[in-house]
Amino acid sequence: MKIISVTGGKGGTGKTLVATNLAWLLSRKKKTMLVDIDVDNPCTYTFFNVHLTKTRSIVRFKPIIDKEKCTLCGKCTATCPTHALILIPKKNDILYIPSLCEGCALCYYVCPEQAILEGKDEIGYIYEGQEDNIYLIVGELKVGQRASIKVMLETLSHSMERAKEYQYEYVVIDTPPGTSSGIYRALSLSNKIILVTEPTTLGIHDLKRMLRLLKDLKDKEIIMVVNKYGIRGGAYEELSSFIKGCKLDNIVYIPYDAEMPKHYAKGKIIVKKYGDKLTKAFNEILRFAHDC
Amino acid sequence: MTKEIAIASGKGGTGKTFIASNLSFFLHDQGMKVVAVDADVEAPDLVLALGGIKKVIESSSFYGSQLPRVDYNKCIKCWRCIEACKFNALLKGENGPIVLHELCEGLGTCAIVCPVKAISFEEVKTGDLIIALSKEDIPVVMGELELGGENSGRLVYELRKRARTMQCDFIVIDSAPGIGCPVISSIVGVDVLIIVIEPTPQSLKGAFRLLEVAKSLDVRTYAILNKYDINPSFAREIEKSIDVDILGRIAYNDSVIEAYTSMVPLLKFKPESEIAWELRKIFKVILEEII
Repeated sequence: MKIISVTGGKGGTGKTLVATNLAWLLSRKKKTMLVDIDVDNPCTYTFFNVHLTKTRSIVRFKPIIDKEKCTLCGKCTATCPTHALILIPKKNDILYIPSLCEGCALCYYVCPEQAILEGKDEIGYIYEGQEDNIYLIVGELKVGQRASIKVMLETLSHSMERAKEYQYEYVVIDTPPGTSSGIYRALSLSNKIILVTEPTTLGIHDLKRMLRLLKDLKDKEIIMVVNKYGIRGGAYEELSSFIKGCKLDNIVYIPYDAEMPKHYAKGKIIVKKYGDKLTKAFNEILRFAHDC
Repeated sequence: MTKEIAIASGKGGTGKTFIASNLSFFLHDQGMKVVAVDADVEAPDLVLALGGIKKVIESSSFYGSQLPRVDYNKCIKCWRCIEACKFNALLKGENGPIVLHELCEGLGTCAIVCPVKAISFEEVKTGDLIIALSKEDIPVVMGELELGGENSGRLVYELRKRARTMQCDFIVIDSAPGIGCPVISSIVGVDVLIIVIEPTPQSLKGAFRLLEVAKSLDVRTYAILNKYDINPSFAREIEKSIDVDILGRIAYNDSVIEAYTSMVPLLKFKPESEIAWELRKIFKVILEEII
């Protein structure tokens, strides 16, 4: 099993473009799984005709206070590290603020009366579905919840189990923008990493941060994909001096085409339509994904 | 009274930093005292869009988390800590529990349940808080989260708190993409939230999710349609389908990228361009009618 993560730092550079198209290309010959851990706004499935089924909800601890047993001693409210429990002495009550709760269960353990019971709060979901040879696993944060990273981690471990169970040959992971610990986990699980950037000042700046994150990871094969290459007004001098200094020798350029975003915006796998123009770039990415 | 305006979007790369940098420039140009906050602590770029750093005014470490320290001489390997940890951040080791730093939230449950007090907590640095004067003479409060870090929401709270002490007319907050922890911290309690949407289904979906979060937080929300001409028919569909006032539609052309490459806000780089006119029109509405 080969695990390939698609990441890059900045938002909107083309991570999902590369992940969906690569997965589609791989799936023509091999059993391929595509995992979407952009849990704040997962979009990979919009590019496939796939019916997704909710297969799991991701939960975390929430306190349920047994008012009969509670003596209002205030131990839980004094210990809660995020101030999600507040003692209101005048009303003889304890107020629970779900949006502040991290689900650590400290209150459950410190209560001397065992008046706090273990409840569950839903923070996200995992969806799964199949189109032709692609098996899609999507993690989604429930709207209003904060725990994106926990949902990312759960989606990753669920996907790894599934991939082993069903013996997928390729697993492509589409990550959100940024450099969070959830992304780090995906990269550390991977054999290969695809860094997608664009020839803009901000794209290059955020990629530099991402490269620093990669420093701690050993034995990873890395390829850099410069998307929208040729877009007018781009930071080409900065890009070439960055490339000279970054020690990455595996670089692929996806040519910019003003028509492409329009097609992509309609939610289409663009290699199907733009085969010729993109053949070179995606062939190189495919070669990287297979054994070199 | 200082007014806070947050710029956010459910999807990345729709133009948050573009709007935030030009709005900051516009307000500053109108003679207002502006502080810009870069709340995208995993990819902080706002200062680049405002010309880069002219001078660092302040720099301090941010201790946003705690990590457990295990005294293996005291540990009796009862493993209660492992049972209690809700984040699976502890593993059985030869001499006692091993802490997986990337999973630990630093909330202290393991220390509380340990019967022999073998676990203590120490504060760890999770990022930096920097205040820099940009080349456009607008101070930018920015955070840089340690790589692979967590607790970005707490750092964002710190940034906003620090900005509020700087006595200004406006705080412009450039949020992280998405709808999670750092985004909620960026938009809670602001006077106005502006969602930047591009005419793609992916961006619209993100906008709907963000709108729901904004509603639950009771934040006054408006939207800007950016790059509307990459798919005008879908842009019209968005205008019909989304339940939020759209302040304007901004076209996309090379000058947007050129302005970034030159590290000059577009309003200064191409002040007579169609995009600049549209931006000013929107910002005037924000300044004169909304705030």
